[in-house]
Amino acid sequence: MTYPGDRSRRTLLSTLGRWFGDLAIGVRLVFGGGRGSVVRLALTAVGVGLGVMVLLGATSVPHMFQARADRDDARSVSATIGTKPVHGVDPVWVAARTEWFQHKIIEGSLVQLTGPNPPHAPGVARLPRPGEAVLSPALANLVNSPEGELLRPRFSQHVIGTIADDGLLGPNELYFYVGTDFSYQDHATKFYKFGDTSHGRTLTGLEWLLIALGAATFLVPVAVFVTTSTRFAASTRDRRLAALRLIGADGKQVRRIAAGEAFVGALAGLVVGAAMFLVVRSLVPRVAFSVLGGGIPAGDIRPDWPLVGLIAVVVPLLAIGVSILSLRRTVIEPLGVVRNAKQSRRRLLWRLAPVIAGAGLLTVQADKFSRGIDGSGQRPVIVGIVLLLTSVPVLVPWLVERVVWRMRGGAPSWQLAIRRLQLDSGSSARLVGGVAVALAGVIALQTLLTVAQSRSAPYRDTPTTTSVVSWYNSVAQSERLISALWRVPGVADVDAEVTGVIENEGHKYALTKVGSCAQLEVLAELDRCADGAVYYARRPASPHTQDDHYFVPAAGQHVWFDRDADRHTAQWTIPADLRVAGLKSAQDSRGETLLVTPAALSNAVNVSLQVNATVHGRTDDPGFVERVRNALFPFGWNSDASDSNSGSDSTSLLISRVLNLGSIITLLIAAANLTVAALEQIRERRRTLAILMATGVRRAVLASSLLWQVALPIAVAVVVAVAAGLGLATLLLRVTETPLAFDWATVAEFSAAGLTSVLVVTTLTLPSLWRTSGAEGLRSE
Amino acid sequence: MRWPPAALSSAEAASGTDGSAVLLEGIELRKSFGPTLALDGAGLRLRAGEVVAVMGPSGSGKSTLLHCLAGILRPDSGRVTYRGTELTGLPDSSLSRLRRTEFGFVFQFGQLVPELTCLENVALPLRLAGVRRKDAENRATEWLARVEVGDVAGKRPGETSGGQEQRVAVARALVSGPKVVFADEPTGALDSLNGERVMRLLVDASKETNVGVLLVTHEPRVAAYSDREVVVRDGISREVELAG
Amino acid sequence: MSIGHTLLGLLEAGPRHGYDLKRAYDERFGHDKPLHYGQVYSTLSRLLRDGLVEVDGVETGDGPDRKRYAITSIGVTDVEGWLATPEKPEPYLQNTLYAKVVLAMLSGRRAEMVLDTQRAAHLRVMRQLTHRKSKGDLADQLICDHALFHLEADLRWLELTASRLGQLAEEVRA
Repeated sequence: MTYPGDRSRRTLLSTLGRWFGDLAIGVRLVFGGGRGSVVRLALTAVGVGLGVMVLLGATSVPHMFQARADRDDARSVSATIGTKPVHGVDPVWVAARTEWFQHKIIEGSLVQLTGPNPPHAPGVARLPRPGEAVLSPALANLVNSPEGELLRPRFSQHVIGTIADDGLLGPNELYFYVGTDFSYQDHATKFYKFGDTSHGRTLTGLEWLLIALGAATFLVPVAVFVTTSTRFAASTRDRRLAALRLIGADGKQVRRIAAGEAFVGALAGLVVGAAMFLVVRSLVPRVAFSVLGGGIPAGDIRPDWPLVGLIAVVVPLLAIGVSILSLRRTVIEPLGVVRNAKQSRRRLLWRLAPVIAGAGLLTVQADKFSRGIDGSGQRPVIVGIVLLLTSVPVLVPWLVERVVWRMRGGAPSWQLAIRRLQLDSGSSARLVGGVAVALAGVIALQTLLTVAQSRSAPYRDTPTTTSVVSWYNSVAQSERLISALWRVPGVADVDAEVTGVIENEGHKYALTKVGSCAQLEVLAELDRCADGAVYYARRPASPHTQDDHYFVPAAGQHVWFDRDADRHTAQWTIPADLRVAGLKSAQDSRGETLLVTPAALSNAVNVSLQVNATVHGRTDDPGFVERVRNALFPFGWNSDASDSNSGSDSTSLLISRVLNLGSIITLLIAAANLTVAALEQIRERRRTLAILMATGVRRAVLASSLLWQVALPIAVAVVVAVAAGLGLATLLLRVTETPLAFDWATVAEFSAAGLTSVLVVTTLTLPSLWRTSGAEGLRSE
Repeated sequence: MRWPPAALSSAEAASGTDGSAVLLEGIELRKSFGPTLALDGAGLRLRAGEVVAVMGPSGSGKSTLLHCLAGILRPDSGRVTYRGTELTGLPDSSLSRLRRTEFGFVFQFGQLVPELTCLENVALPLRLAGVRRKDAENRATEWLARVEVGDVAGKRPGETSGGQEQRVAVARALVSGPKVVFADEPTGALDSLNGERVMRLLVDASKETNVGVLLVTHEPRVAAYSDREVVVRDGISREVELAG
Repeated sequence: MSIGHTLLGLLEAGPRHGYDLKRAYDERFGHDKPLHYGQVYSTLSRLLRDGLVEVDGVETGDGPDRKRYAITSIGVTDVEGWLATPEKPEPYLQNTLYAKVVLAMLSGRRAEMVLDTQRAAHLRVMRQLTHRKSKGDLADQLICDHALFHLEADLRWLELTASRLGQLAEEVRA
């Protein structure tokens, strides 16, 4: 006896069973079609796999940054954590030090041990004693290599070991611990312990936008890649499905069978993507030498498992959804595929929806967002970015269709391409959609980046001009340093000044300029100057400076060079015969200024002076700056020499490097996807191509027709991408209330890269074109 | 540039230009694809205005023989001569030009460019030879009328019937005034009535224009439109002469 | 082909003289083998005896050709019955060609030669038929096609045999 519920359950089960049966037929069809269907599957798998690889990479990014940050923290020293005495540990004096060599950053610590039980520094077996050093493997290699010649003088210490991986951000990082005896310990602090809690600074609104836009630029194209890849060989598939209709499958079944096929493609894509990810992961340490300062160890690239699970579910679902959606336009009849002979033209209205929604969201968010990034504005901004980027692949097909709509053939190759586009602009437009969206994102990114960089990069010098900043504790040493600069080979001129900051007992400060009478007379009118004289040059009144930070120096006043020094014993007393001098120029007056001749400081202790020099070279030799650095080295680790903006903020540097790298990777993957898609198109049209070749059509005609066929949609895509990218950047900059500045050179550069990719892709597909269009292609399937 | 090149015109004169001159000849052709031997010393001669059927079971090497004779495939050994010129040594560009100007092709199916209209398809060989579009399309229109499919000029191949498509293909093969037409199973995808119509149009038009036709088919009724037949079996071709 | 039934069928259109009948027959059906007079008259006399035709009238003149024949109602029934009866499909089991092929192989000769020669002969006839078809009217075309299809069937068999000669040789020699 059966009950109603029982029966419905049984019906449900049998329905499910039928569905699985249909899906299984789809699966079977993929594997049963011989060589052709295997190739088709492989192309789909590679296309989807590229997307999956990017997605897996993206989920690994948080861990990668976390792991780096953790290691960075572990080797840092913190004034709050590390300075508390630890029982049984002999503290170590540590001063962080940044060296530059040929635009490579070399970071490290100068250390001075105070006893046999120093704290443990990660990756270092034994901290170095004076004259010893522990170097990272990459730094040791660089120093010993021929191109490290100009670096060798700075790392000539006895190397007692190398830094292990856990003490480095990346395997190729240049890092060092050098033992020293701080003759000048102003910058060193005594630590009982290495390690810091996360000290990353909060992001500015613009930086946050850069990151959000970067992520969207990566991920929106991935969605496009996955959807294009699952639509490969749609017409072959439709023919196969028509054959199934012939033997009695109904419309719904056919759709389920198609879903089964798409499912297999997506699964294969997941596998291929995972494999590609593993390969890339193992290659990254070898390829990414200097990326992010030291490369990326493979172990840092670890996908986030919950997100991986999500990818494994979403990608097949997306594939199935797209394959069913793509059947919407075609009616599969038993005797063939009816592609509505007069295809309905694409409608503009719904295609404009994402643009309007995205632009609207960003416009509305403008004033909310500018107040800070912690507000509620973040999510709408992300949605707005994604909507605007999505609108690119949505608009391109419509525009391509409009552009080719009324075109008529010129030369045969042009005619072939135009007619092909008129009949089926969709597959070509989809093909370039990925490139377009990547390009739009990259252009927006670069525009934002330009603005961000112009904020953090205030100046740029010519390569042969080197700026030197040194800190020294005596006038004599400063002068020796300046004369050493004059002896650097190739030097043309040295423009140096010696300055210092003095503070009164109330921690207000004044500036001192130290120099001979001749040097100081350049700055001010000096009355009866002789060595030992001190002048006070009153700073011109300025509404922009806060007067209460400065004190007016007076004769006989006690002053200090060291901020933290005990205020009971004076480090220097301003001489009694302090005279007043008039400044010749108001340009260089950052505070109340004391002009001091060297002898006046003879009774001072703990003098702290800063030498600022600009060294002009006579040559274009990029090694000039290294020679300057080496000339400074004998004076200790107290100088910085830079020939450009080498010292920009590390966070913005990191962001800009990641984004530049990301832009290039995205475009490369877009081009790879384009190649796969183009190969697929050739395969699908191989009979037509083979017959054209057989009837004697010149290769050049076929090749240029192929070129036009990609170039025309790409040209449209580039136009859309530039418009969308600049529009997006404009809206985003408005959001952050940042003045607009377009970097047309970069826009042109990336647009050109997009257009060039057409040539490259076409060239890459030519061998396949000749192969498929040979006599083999004449054989009927 | 017309075939043969100027340098060959004396050879042409020597061989004579009457209908009985040998147009195309293949001698001792061998061709293998990997381990598979497709042709093992096949050959045939084609004279102007003559229709020769190449018959044989599937896989016997019929199509390979056609491809070698048409300069689509290069034989591994043996010679192919067209009006006294050996093709086997010619560079690819010359072979392409030869196929474009001197040969016409009709295949079983799918030979028309699906994106172009039937008229544009027929005009294509002329356009590739540098004829102005107007003139090319005028001549194409004439040819479409001649093969009785003037009404499909503006349609795309997908919108026509199989018989119409093959007749358009015949027009395309003949429009540029070739000397040889290669027809590989030209009726293979058609029913008997449409097949016969296509064959009659092809044969009549070739006879009128003194074109040599190489017809690959496995259908005896189609082969019956030929003047003589060559049988290919296991890569070897044979001509059977009946006594009497 | 039953000549009696064919003549009866021709008479259905109206009475005719024997000579007219022969001409009508030859025109429609006798392309390769025209009827002899004797054959016509012996058939007609048999039909007369069986009551399927009757003499419609006799005209004066020379020669034997003076009687005009008409079909009787029994004759009409007979024609209807003939048309409604399917022809027995002929299986050609004892075909001469088959015998030749087997004999060629048994005697160690090349069976392919037999096949190729036969194909050439068949094709020669088929070419003539195709040529005639292109000149003739619809009736001509139908008749030629009938012959062409039969000849084609033979040739298809030849092709099939040719592709299985190896197997056949083994069985024949076993």
